[in-house]
This record gives sequence, C-alpha cells and structure tokens, in this order.
Amino acid sequence: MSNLPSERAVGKVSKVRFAPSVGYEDTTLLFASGTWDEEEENAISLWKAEQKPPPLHRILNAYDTKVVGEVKQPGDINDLCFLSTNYLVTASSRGTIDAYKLVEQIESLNEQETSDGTDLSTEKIIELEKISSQTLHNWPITTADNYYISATGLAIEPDNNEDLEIASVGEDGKLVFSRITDTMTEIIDADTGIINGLVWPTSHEIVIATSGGRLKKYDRRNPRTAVAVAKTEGKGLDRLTCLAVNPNKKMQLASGSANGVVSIWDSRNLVEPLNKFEPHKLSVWDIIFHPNRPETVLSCSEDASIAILDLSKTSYLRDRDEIPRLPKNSNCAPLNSLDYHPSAKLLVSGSDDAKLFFDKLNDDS
Amino acid sequence: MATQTIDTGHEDLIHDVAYDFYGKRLATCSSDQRIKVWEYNVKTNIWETVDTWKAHDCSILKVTWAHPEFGQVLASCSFDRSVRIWEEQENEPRNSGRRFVLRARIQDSLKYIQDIEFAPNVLGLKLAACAADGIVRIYEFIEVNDLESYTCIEEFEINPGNLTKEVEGHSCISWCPSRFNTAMMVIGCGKEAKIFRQDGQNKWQAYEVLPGHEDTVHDVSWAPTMGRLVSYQLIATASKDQHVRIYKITSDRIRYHAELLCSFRDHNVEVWRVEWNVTGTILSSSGDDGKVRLWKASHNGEWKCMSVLSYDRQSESSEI
Amino acid sequence: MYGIEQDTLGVAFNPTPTNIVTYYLARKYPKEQVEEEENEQPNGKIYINPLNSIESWQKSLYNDVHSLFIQTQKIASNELATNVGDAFQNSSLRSTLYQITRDYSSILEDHTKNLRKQDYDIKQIMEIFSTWEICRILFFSPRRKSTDLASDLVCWVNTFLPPSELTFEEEQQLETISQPQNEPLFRDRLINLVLRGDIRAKELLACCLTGDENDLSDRAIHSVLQTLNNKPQAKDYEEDQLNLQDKELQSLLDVILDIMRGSETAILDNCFSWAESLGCLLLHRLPTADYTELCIVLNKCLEGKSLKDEGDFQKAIIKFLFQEIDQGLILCLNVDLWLSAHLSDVFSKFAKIGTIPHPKTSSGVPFKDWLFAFRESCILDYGELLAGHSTLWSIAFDYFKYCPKYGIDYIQQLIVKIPMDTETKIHKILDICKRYDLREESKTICKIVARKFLREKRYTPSLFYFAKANDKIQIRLIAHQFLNNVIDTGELKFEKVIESLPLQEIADTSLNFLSQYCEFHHLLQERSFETAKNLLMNLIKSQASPKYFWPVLLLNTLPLLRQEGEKSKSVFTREDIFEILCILEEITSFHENNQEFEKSMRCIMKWHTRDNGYDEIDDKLKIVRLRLAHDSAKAFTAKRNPTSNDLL
Repeated sequence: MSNLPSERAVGKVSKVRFAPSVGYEDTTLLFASGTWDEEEENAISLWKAEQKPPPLHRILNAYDTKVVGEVKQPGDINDLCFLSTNYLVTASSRGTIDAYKLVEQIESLNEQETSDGTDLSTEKIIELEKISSQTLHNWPITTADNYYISATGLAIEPDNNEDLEIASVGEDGKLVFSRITDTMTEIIDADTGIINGLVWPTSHEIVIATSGGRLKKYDRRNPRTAVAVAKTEGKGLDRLTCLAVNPNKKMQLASGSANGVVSIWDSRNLVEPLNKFEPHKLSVWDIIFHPNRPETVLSCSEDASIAILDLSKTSYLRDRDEIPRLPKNSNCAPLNSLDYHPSAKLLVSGSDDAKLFFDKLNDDS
Repeated sequence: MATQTIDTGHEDLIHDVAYDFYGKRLATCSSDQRIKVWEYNVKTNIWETVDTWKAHDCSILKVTWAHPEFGQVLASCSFDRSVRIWEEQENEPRNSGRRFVLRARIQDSLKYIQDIEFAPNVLGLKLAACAADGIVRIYEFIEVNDLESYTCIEEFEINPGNLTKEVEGHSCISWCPSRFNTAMMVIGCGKEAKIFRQDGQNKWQAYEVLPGHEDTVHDVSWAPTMGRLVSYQLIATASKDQHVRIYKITSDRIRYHAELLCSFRDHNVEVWRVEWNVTGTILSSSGDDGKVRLWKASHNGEWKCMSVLSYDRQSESSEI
Repeated sequence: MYGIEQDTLGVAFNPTPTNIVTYYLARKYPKEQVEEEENEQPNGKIYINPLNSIESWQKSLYNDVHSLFIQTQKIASNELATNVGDAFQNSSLRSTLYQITRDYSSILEDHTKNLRKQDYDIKQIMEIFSTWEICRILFFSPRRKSTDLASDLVCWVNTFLPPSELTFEEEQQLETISQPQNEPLFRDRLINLVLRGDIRAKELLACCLTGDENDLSDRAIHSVLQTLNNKPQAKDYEEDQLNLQDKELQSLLDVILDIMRGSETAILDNCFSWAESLGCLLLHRLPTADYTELCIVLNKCLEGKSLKDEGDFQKAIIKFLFQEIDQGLILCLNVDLWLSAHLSDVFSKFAKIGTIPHPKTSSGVPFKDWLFAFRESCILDYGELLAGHSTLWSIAFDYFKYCPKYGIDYIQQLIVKIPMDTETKIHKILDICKRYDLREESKTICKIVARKFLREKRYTPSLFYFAKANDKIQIRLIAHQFLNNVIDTGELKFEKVIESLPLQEIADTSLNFLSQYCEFHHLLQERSFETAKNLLMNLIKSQASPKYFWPVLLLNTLPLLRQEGEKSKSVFTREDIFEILCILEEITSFHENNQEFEKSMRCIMKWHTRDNGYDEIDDKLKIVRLRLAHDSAKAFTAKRNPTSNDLL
C-alpha cells in the first residue's frame, strides 16, 4: 500500500466512481467525483489519472491527475453511475435523476511558454452535456416550490447493452424505474420510511436498504411487492446507509450502517445478516467489495478512515483495532465515498475537506 | 454578501421583527394589524413571503417564534390585550392568508400586552407575557398537538402594590436561555430591571436588581450562556437614559449577584433595543439616532464598540 | 431628527453563527396611543446586513489547512503528555513543529500562486503570507549559522517587498540611454538593485561601459563589478580614491561602493521604506546580526518615519521584529482572523516547549497564560465564522474541540443551529453529537426533525426520530392517532408505517400494541384462530390498550365467535369469556366510560354496516353479548378434552 499525493476537489466530495475500463492497457484512468453541501454550487468533475511514463512509474507508483471536465448542479450529488464510458447518471438531493453525455473536445489554449519555447498547446477536455433530467422523487403534501426530497441511490440494469433502465431510490421511500430516452416511469412504494441504498445484481433481482434497518428484495418482472424482507436491528436505532454487491459473487451483499456496522447478507436467503462487523464507530458512508481479493470489503466512514475487512476473520467482532485500515494520518475529515479500479489497483476516496485521496492497493498486501 | 433590503409592504410602521431558530424565516408585525412571515430562498437569494394575514384587531406589538422542536409556532401580542398563538399548516398554499392558523386566543389581561417571549425549550412549551399594568402571566401548552388547551400556570406582579397604576412607561422581558440554571427571567419594569425566579414555594419573585438605570428601561436581553457551570451570565439593557448597559450575573450557590460591567452612552439619545448574537459575544443596540451599534469584548475582556451601522432617514438607504 | 418622531430604529440579530444584523424603522408606541397626525408614508423596509463573509479563495484555504491544524494539535498533545523538561522529546517535537510551520508556508505559497494566476487581488493573502513568514523566520526556525537570521530576513524583504517592477516604457528607456549615469531613472534603479543585492545590478552597471579598454571610467566600472561579484567581501575593498572625469559616474560608483561597505548613511539615504532600509542594512552591514542587533538596526530604520499611515499589517511585522509577540498578535487580529488563530496556535505550541522568549505583556499577565487565552479566543472567533458558512460548518467543530475552556460550550450551542434538509446532513450532525457525547443536543435535534416529518405526514421517519429522542409521549400520541383512524375508517392504514420500523429496538408499548394488532389481523387471514384468539386476549388485557379502542377489540372477537355456528369448537375459554363480558359491562354501563364508548361507537357504526359486508351492530354491542352467550353455553356444557380443544 502506498499513499499517493492528494488532490484538491472543487467542494466537499460526496461520491467518486471510476468509469468502466476500456481494454487492459490502463495507464489512463477516467473517474468522476460529485460534491454536496455546496449550496447551489455543487459540481460533477471528470478526472483523468495518467500513469507517469515508465521509469518514473515504477519508482514512484505515481499518477498525474487533473480535472478534464466539470459541470455545475444545484443539488447534492448523492449517487453517480457510469452507464458506459460516454454516459453518466447522477441522483441529486433535488430528487432528480440527471444523465450526462461525455463529449471530448479539443481546446487550444493560448500560447504558452514551454521549455521548448513558445508552443501552441492543445488540451483534451470533456464536456458534460446534460441530456435528460427527471424529477422522480418528491413528496406532494408540501406546497413550497423549493421543497425537495432527495434521490439517494442509483443502479443500472445489468447485462443489457441497449436502452438501459435506471432504478433509483429516495427519501420518499419510492423505488422508481426510468430510462434516459423517454419519460415513462414505474413507481413503486417500497417503504414508508427513507431508503438509502440499492443494488441491481442480476437482471431480475433488485435489493434496497432502508433507514429502518430493512433489506428488501424485488423481482423486476413483478416489482409491486417485495419478494423478501430482511431485518437488522442494531443498538441505538441503527440505520442502513449504503449497500454493495460482490461483482464476483452476485448473491453476496454488504451493507454499512450509521453506527459503523458492516453486515454481510445472502440475497438468496434474505432474513438476517450472515455476519456483522464493527470496523467503525461512526457512520459508514460507502462500501465496496474488493474485486480481486476474495472475501474482502472496503468501507469508508465519518471517522475519517477506510477499513479493509477480511470477512473470514471473525475475531473482528471483538477487537476493532485489529482491522487494518488505511493510515491517512494527514486526513481528519470524514470520508464519504470510495472506489477501486481493479486492473490499475488504484483506490480513490473523497472527503469532506474537499480532497481526493489515492492509494495503490496491491492484491496481496 | 451585501446588505439586502426587504420591502415588506406593511401599510404602516413595523413594531417588531423576529427571526426563527435557524435564521431562515422572519416574522414582521405592524400597526396595520398584520403579520407577515418571510423565508429566505437560497436559490434566488431573496426573502419571499410565506404568508400575510390580519392577526389582531389593533396594532401588533411583538412576534416571537417557538423552538422548532414544537413545530412552526408563532406567538403575537397586541394592543387589543390578547396574545395569539399561530401554527403553520402544511397543506394550505403559501400566500393564501390561511397558511398560519389561529390555535389559541389568550384574553386574560385587562391592559394591553407589551412583551411576550417563549421560555427555553427545556422547560417545555411555555410563554411569558407581560402587560401594561405590570402583571406577568406564564402560560403552558402541555400538548403540542393541541395548542388550544393551554393553562395559565403563573400570574404575578412586577411591582407588587402598584396594582392600579399603569407601570411607568414600559415593561419588557427576557428569559435566561441556559439549560443549566433554574428558570429565570429579567424583567424591565419602568425605571428598573430585576431578575425574577421561583422561590421555595415555586412562586415567582423578584430577586436581584440591576443597578444604575436612571430612566425607563426600554429593552432587556439575556445573553446565551457560554459556560456550563454558571461561571457567569450577561444581561444587556437599553434605556431612555441613553445608556446601553451590560451586567454580569454570578452565583455562589447561595445567591446571585448582579454587577454593572460597563455602560455606554455612545448613542447619545434614547436607546430602544438591544439583542445578543447566538454565542453571546456580540451585542447590538439601536436607538433614536438611527444607528445600530455593535459591541464586542476584546481579547482582554474589555467591551467596546466594534462598528456602527447607519440608517439614513432622508435617502432611505443604509450604509456602514 | 429622531426622538420626537414616532419611530426609532429597531434591531434584530440572526440567531445563528452567520451573525447577520437586521434593522428597521420601528414604532415606539402603539398607534392607538398616539394622537398626532402622521404625514409621511410609512416605511416598511427591513435592512439585512451580514457581518461576515468568506470569499471562495478563503474557503479553499480554510479547507486545506484544516487537516494540518488537527495534525498540529494531535502531535503537540501526544508528545506533551510526558514531562516538558525531557530534552530529547522536546527536540523531536520541535523539529516536527518546524516542519509544520513550513507546511503552512507552502500551503500559503500555493494559494498565492493560484490567485495570482487567476488575476485575483492578492493583497490580503500576501499580508497573511508575509506575516507568517516573518514569524517563521524569527521564531519558528532552527538557527544553525550566525548568518541565518539576517539572510532569511533579507530574503523576506526581497520576496514580499520587492522593488517595484518597471513599466514597459521605463524598461525601453533604460535600454536606449547613452550616458546612463546621468539619467536619474537609471541611477535610482541601479542603486536600488545594489542595495537589495540583486544580481541584475551588474547587468545594469555594465550598460555604462563604453567598451574602451583604456578608459579610466571603464576600468573603474570593471573593478566595481568585480566587487559586486565578490560580495560579501566588499568590506575589504580598499578605499581607492577615484578621480574620474565623469563626476556623475564617479558619484554613482562612490555611492555603490559605500553601500557595499555597509555605510549606514549611504544605505539609509537611498532607501525609501523602513523595511527596505532594514533589509539593506542587514545585507551589507550586519550579516551576522542577532536579535538584539536586529532591534537596534530596526530602531535606526524607523527613525524619522511616521507609522501613522501604515496599515496594521506593517505595524504587526514591526512588533514581531522587536519580539513584542503579544503586540504583534493583537495587531494581527485586524489583518485577518485566520492568521491570528493559526499563528497564535503555533506560538502556543512552541511556547509550551519553552522555545519562545518570554517578553512581558503590557497587562502584566504572564506571557504563556496570556498567549493561551488569546489563542483560544481567536480560534473560537474563527470557528464561529466557519460555523456560519453553509459548507465550512463541519470544520468549525474540529476547531472548537481544541479549545479547552469554552470549546465544548460553543459546540453545544452551535451544533443545533446547523440547518438540516437532507437525511445525510441529519446523520452527519448526529455523528458530531456522538463524537462529543452531546446527548441533550442529540435529543433536541431528533425532536426537531421528528416534528418536521410529522408535519409532512411522513410517519415512519417521524416515529423513528421520536424514538431516538426517547419521546414516549409523542409516540403514544401518534399511536392514538392511528388507532383513531381505525375507529374512523375500519382500515389499518398504519400497517406499513409500523412494519418499516425497528420495533424490537424501539421497545415502545404503544407501537408494540399497534404491531400486535396488525399481527392479529394477519393471523385471522391465515385462519390461525387459536393464536389469533390468544393475541386478541393479550391486546384486550394490555395496559397499552386505550379504552376508546375497546369497542373495536370487542368487535374483533366476532370473527372468532363466528365459528360457533358451524363446528362446535370454541376458541375461547371460560376465563376468556368472563374477561370479555366484564369489559363489555365496564364500558357500556359506567358513565365516565360511556362517553368515550359512545363516541367510538358512533364512528364505528358509520362503516360497520351490512352494506359493507359486516354484521349489523347497535350502540350497545348486543351482538357481542349474544354471540358470547351462545359460545359460553357451549363451553359450559361441553366436556373438555385436556389434550385438544375439540368439544363434543
């Protein structure tokens, strides 16, 4: 593990997500970050991380990161998903699901002096063009027009290459299916409370995580009622804050909670968590399965650390200090999101200090 | 952020302006018998009306918000001798005149009510109202969902023995906002300001007098406590004698002591209002000279004027 | 004028850390008491004046420095846990602190560069940066060589108070002059560069060369150039009386040599500002100055200069140079709040390990005590500024944490003032409460949020947060609302609300009652009559069962009694029947219970009609009595088999 230099983001980072990789030659990575709490000035930024040329990169393991595109959005970016390398979708605290098209532009900058003398340099920037925006989450009883209900989570229909369907959940307790291309939506009253996360592991199976500590599974073909409901009750009225699915083992789910508890579930038998760990003392904000290491879950939390959980070790239940975590001595701000690029082995995380942190996580260490 | 102006549209002079707990809403009341509630729209940076309605049959003298733990509740008092409690209805559209519904009409007093203030939320939903005849009443609303069922739990005179005479000039109240002390209030009664609290039999009595006032006390304000174990409290008063005074209240487990910390005559005319900021570190005062003065204690504990805001009457503009 | 008019100025303070002052024309007395005629149009305007503002570059700076500040606190507190006298411990702490001050510098440098690139006004950040650097040079750097102090200060002068840049025209002019030594612009420029020790002086002087090897002037110039090269050995240069024809050139060269020799008069005569004088004197005359000599030199530079028009920033720097740290810090308050907060923090850390000289403070208070109190008051003010910002509020609490005296009070007072519009924000604020163990504030926040959800009719989150606030009264009220809804409509609308809640955790009797009531209906649907009956009896006997709801429970016995007709199986035992009859008697006969009962019955009878598929009932629930009687008759006359409930 090595700690790479951090980057300054344009605001408090709420979500980071890598774009799906094209090919195996991942020397240039594309990822997006979204901000929150910036009062009308939130932004979605697109970053390129370029691996430094051969001799340097072996010595320093370093990347050159910079912003290549940015677009402003008034609401908090609560979730962010790449549909493909050219399209991304966001869920915002205004209750909207917005879709953007990534268009590469070549912008020529003014004459710049480089070491070779004056040079007309060009830069590739990516413009984010908003192609659709639908307000799918709201609460009709209030009449003010600046009253919003957050859309809290997004998932994309898997295994389908054309006209993808998007599922979103929100604080209104609804599960909504929509498409970018048209305005037809299917709205399901999934819960009377607040839903905080969802995953769409297989084409028919959708699972949501609620604030009241419930995991509910739905069948896409008949989504009106939940197929299975699981409960977890933690001390002090725990709330489930995020949900993730193991990309290699689609029935394995992990959830994070407001008390810092990570629970592991089997979606085929959704009754109770199979296992519970307590890697954090404060809210877990984002959670992912390590795509290359089996039985490993990474979670980031309000306590400013990232925990690397080995699910096969049950001793964690007793001793939180045994869990390896990414040191980050220099970071004291809550970490809201993390994502991992499997082939580049790069972990990126975003904090409330408007910073992005990078770590190289090898498969074995 | 630059200075903003709200053109309230009241048809007569404003009597009082009150912010809600989060500072995102403003209630204004006027001689035109109406209350207006405003809300700050972050998107447009403008204060927009939530509603306007005729609340009383005479000039409305004070408005005050209850703690948000009790919902969106507003109290108003008027020359018509009543205190009225209003609650916001979510299902009524904005600016319909029906958004705030009358929940209780308190008509106990024989003289008009000069000041009202809700007690700190730790004491429950309670309201103190002082009338022009020097009688203070404390009301309790036991069930927040049912504001109509209130009870008058206390009634006492500011100046016992002065029943028939109207209190000279003015009366005003301010609750002690601390949750670590017993319930206390500072009440300005005519030319004096005194601290009131409950005695051994739970009756409200006057205790310490804040010394030094030479004329009517127009306003009193008890600063938010920034000291857990009653190290000291601050009270500010505005007086007709042109002074802004700050008092330090200390206690030694037996009783409280009130001493005058400092006194300022900068306004040079009658001072009408004083109010503390949220941390009790800045005091604002305003008076007949059309100026607002801000007072702050420097790092060595000395209070002095840190800035002056002017309201220019002629051009109806304001500047620093 | 005011005073005789009916109006005065009223003021209100926005009760949040945004510290916004509002003022308006206000009436003094009620209109009804005033007899005079009013001629003017009343003014209904309100003015809203914010006292604080944070620019975007400041926001970016505050974010960047946040982690560094916390790191500083953690390091200082870890290592100071042991005795202050431990020399080894102190030296390692000291070097870490040195590094930290350098880190602060590089952040400030970074930001200055960015602002410059974007063409922003850099005045304020330059003032902050230069003040920081002066303190770093004077107090926060390890002293290795005797020349360090002077050279650092000279560097500082040249970086922050550099010679003004020449305009394009001036540059052109300089290039094309012949006989430049006669040109005042040239002379001034050259002398300035020499004073500063700037290498461009050589290039400029070289312009005076005619190129003629034999020219006396040229040779003189070359030797001066040589001297310039050999700095700092200038003092060793012999006083060679030059007697050149060109008097202008001679005077110029003389001045240059005087300066190089460190002649005080030459330097002071040719410098404009005190800072410039200081830098030049140190460079040419006192390269090994120590603190005392520094003060002497500084006094000389300030002689005759009036500081009246200087900004507080300059005054602060001067105070620091005189090592009057307390005066310097007080002046910093007027320069920038961020600066005074972080600077006094760093001073405190160094003072704790004893590396700051101990000057007397003007008030006679011991320096350390004064410094710690000052630091706390600055950090509290800075935190208050942050707390009022829509995004930076979360950082504020980290600053308050490190204020030992009043920090926790500020946290308590201000955490409840942060507006909450999304659940993420609510979570984060409650997390802060958890971190500092603020139970009362947590409860208040939960109540506020719960009440808001209740007004919006979002019952599940509302009950959840009332439960978190432990507000059993409010939960019971909502539960009553639901039960009344059943009485009014006969439907279990609240079912889904209850299902989504973690009831086991909440452990509230009213909610459990509701949940069990729903369960009862499920059991009925599943035709598990025995279990349903047991549950119903529990509900009837339960403490949580309100009297006005008993009619519904009694009516709920009917489906269980219905079985009577078909099979001779009674689900109810004798005890059950007795119990039910007692209850029925209680609510129908006693007067005080009567009213509630009648009210409920009126509502129930509206929907419990034959048209809706129910049995016809009357307001005394005779139907229940009848069915019970029928049932009990069977129960009394039948022999009971102890192993099963089948009756003959």
